[in-house]
Parts: sequence; C-alpha cells; structure tokens
Amino acid sequence: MRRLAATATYVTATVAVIVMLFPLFWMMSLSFRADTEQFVIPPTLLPAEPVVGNYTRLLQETNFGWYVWNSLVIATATVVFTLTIACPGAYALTRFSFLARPVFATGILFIYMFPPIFLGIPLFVIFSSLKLTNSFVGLVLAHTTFALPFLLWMLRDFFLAIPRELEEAALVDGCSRPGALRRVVLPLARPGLIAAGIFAFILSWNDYVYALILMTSESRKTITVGLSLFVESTTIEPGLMTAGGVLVTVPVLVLFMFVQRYLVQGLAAGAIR
Amino acid sequence: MGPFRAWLRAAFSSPRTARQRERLFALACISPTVFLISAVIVYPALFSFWLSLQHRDLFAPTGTFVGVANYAYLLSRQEFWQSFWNGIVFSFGSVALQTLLGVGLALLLNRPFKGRDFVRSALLFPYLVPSVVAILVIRWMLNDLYGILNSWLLQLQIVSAPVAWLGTPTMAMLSLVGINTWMFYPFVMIVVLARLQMIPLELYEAARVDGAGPLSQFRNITLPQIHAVLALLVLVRTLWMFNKFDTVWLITQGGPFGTTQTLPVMAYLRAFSLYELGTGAAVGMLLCVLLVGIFVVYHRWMLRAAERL
Repeated sequence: MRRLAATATYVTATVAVIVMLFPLFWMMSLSFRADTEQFVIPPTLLPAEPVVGNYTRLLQETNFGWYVWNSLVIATATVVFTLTIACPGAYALTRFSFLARPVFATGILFIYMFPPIFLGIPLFVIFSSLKLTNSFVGLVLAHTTFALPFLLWMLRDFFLAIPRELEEAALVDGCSRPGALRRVVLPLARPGLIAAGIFAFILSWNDYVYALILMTSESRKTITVGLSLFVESTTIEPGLMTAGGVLVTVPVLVLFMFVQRYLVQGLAAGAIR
Repeated sequence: MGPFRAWLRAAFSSPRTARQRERLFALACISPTVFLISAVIVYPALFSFWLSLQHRDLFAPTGTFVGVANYAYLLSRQEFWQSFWNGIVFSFGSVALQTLLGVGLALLLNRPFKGRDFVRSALLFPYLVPSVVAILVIRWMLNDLYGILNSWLLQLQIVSAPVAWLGTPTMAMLSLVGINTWMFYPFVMIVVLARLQMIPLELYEAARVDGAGPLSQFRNITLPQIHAVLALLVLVRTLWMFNKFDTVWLITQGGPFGTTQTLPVMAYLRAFSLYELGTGAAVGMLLCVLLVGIFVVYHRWMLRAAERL
C-alpha cells in the first residue's frame, strides 16, 4: 500500500514535470534547428543536426540586441528607483502609527487592483504632452505603477517581521532613528530586499502592456514587444522567435536560481494579498 | 567624523523634541511614496475619468466635453456586453482550472519524496517564463500546419484533420483558458504549498491514530486549514484574470470576430486602434470601478469574517 502510494507520487510528479515543461523544451529544441528542419512534417522531438545559426542571426541581423539593452536598462532603473522610494515608505508604514496606516494600506491594496490598461491610456496622453513617450524615464515611471505598490506590500511584511525590540534597543543605546533603520532594520531585512528587488526586476522585464503603449519607435522597443514582432510580421521564423524566447527567458531563470529560497518565500508573502 | 558630521548631528538634535524629530523623519520617509503614487497613479486615474467625459482623438491635444455620452454609448452596445461576458467566461474558467491544478500539485509537493525540490522548481517554470515568450511558443505549437500538437493528434489518429485551435470561437476560448491555466497555476501552487506546510503534523498523526483515511484527512484537516487562503486566492486571481490584457491580446487579439474580446482588449482597441480616447478611457473606468467595487465588498466581508473567528 505504502509502496503503491510512493510509486503513484513519482509517476504523477514525472508526468506533471514533463507536461508542464514541454513548451520550454520545445522552444529550446526549435531554437537549435536550421530553417530546413523547422517545417518538417511530422516534427521530430530533437533537431537532427543542431545549429546555433538562429542565435547568431538574431544578434547580428535583427534589432534584438537593442531590445535586450532597452529592457535591461529599464528593469534595472525601475528596481533601483522603486526600491529607493519603497524602502523608507514601507518602513514608515510599519513603524509610525500617526500616518493613518489603515487608510493608506487599504489604498495601496486598491491601487494594486487597477488594470494596467486603465492607467495606460491616461499615461500615454500625459506622457505624450511631456515628451515622455519613447523615453526610458517614461517607461520606468509607468513601471512604478505596479512595482511600487508591490514593493510596499512585500517590504511591509519583511519590516513587520523584524522585532521592534531590536530597534528599540539600538535607540536606547544612543542610535538615532535613521541610524537604527540603517544599522539594524535594513541589514535584517536584506533577504527581503533582494527578493523584492528581483521580483520587481522580473515584473518590469516581463511587462508588455506599458511597453506596447509607450514605446512606439523601433529603437526604443523592449524585449517583450520586440519579440512579439517576430510573429506579427508576415513570415513566421520559428527559429529566430524561439532563439529570442530562450535569450529572454534565461536571465529570468538565472535570477530565480540565485534567490530561489527568498523568491518562494517572497511570492508567498506578496501573493496572499 | 569631521566637522560636517558634527554640524549635521547638532542640526538634527537642536531644540526640537524627540517627538518632533520622529515625526519629521516619518514624513521624510513617506513623502516620496505619497508623491510618486499621486503623480503616476492617482493623477492618471483622475485624468482618465476626465478623458472619459470627452470626445477626443488619440493624437489631438484637446477634446470636446460630452458628459456621460461615452458611457451611455458603451452600455447600449452589444460589443461591450459581449466583452464583459467573455471576460467572465475567461476569468472564471481559467481560475477554476488554475485552482484545481495548483491545489493538486501543492498536495503532491507536500508529500515527502526524493527530488521534491527539483520538481517544485520545475513546476514553477511556467510562471517565470515571460508571458510573451510562453505565448509565442505555444501559439506556434498550436499552428494548424506545423504545430506539434496537431501533428501528434494526427499521428495518434485522435483527429482526422488538423484542429484550428484559435480559429473557431469555442476553440479559441478553450485555448485561451488552457494557456492561461498553464501560465498561472504555479501562483496558486506556491501559495497553497506555503500554507500546507504550516499545518501542524500532529493533526494528521492524531487523525491517523483515530483511523481516518487519506480522504477524510483531506476533508477534515487540510481543507479547513487552506480554506481562507483559497477564498482569497480565487478572488484575487479572478480579478487579475478579468483585467488581463497581454495574454488575451497576444493569443487571440480578441478574435475570431471579437468572440474572445475582453474589456481590457476593448479598451485598448478603442483607444489605440480606433483612436477614440474617450470611449477607451470610459471602458477602462468601468472596468476599474467594477474591480475595485468587487474588491471593496469582498474586503469588508473578509474583515467581518475575520472578526467572527
């Protein structure tokens, strides 16, 4: 009976992993095929003669490199900018009672529910008049609309988990409030800050809606919008498309592996909202 | 050290009381957040309302005020109600499947077995792959001629002709729900798993001593423990699926013939394809009011439920 249950567990786990990962495997497989092998019917699981031609063509003959660069700059700027604002903000929300915390906290929760498309339309109009469309600054600001509420919530949880006694002890020992924040709270919350920052990076890297609306000129397109163009053009090139897909996905997975421990914890903390 | 630092300290601890200093610091901490939220969220939201009261072309600098005409127009359109209904089908369908799959896999991962950490990370992948990438690959897999899915179905003789996965209204909606389920079940899985791991093992031991089988253990221990998390997850997921733009847009663009068009897609098409800023903003407003309204009601209800406990 027990062995049967164990076997069933393994079988289910194996089937689940194979089914759920198949699209990713397929993407890898297609990305290493020459054009002649892309349209073979019926398709083979693995390329007969693996080639890296799609990757070199992608980087040399298309604007892919620019898209990657744009996304990299925007996601990094979004993380740095939003964390700088959210850190003290979330700290204040957890430590100072007179800030009408409940109202503010609920407010952030509402904002979290705003559909991106709802904010995207007015942001396009406002940014057009400020010359912030097709601009990194504009898209970073647009990304703060989801990154900031997200970070505030996540950091709030991490700050709340730090015992106030530790901070009060530092205050008694003659530390100022900013000093206590810098020397006691921030070091203790560092795992949370890293997880939160990486999460914000991935959110920004993956954004499609705001990039689609705000970045209309070819040289300013981000990776997500750029990639979708490979399909919308009249001739579909599965090799280029999947090679691009692999290159976009790899950084996200690497980031994930680095902080897996924090990420699962962070996802759970942030996702309950 | 140095004189500058001494000066700074003197300035900071000058005549002000500790309480005042505390308040000043609190305000300094919170004001960037308040300012930024006002600038990029609150102001655009209010501006969107103002836009929704106008007839305005996307590239025109100004518009004409028309009152609630845009809203009246939308609410009288079959297209609006069709999009609304599509959104309900899409979000309820995909949340139901996400929840089933997510809870099932969380239960699996909660059992001890070798390689569990690997399986957990692997099952998280679909959520980590950027939506655009996942969709492009899956759309290619669903291609009538060269897609691997049709090729398999034909080889196994399950179908005699290729299935047009995105070609007919019903199939397009089913594909949409299926793809979104695949993309978002890990969210449910991870949150439920985290909650499952908080359940004290003694409860199960006691139940086993009392002779309870796996099914009764699930019903009497597991389900009551994850009930609250599930309720919240279902609500949040439903609202998020209802306002999803990117996945619907990238998979079907609302087609065929608008049969998978949801309200966010309608808002986008109005504003950026038809250049009707006014009606686009009005769709956005209605969507937002709907979501926030549901959320407020539910939030109140949750608070009251929490008080009763």
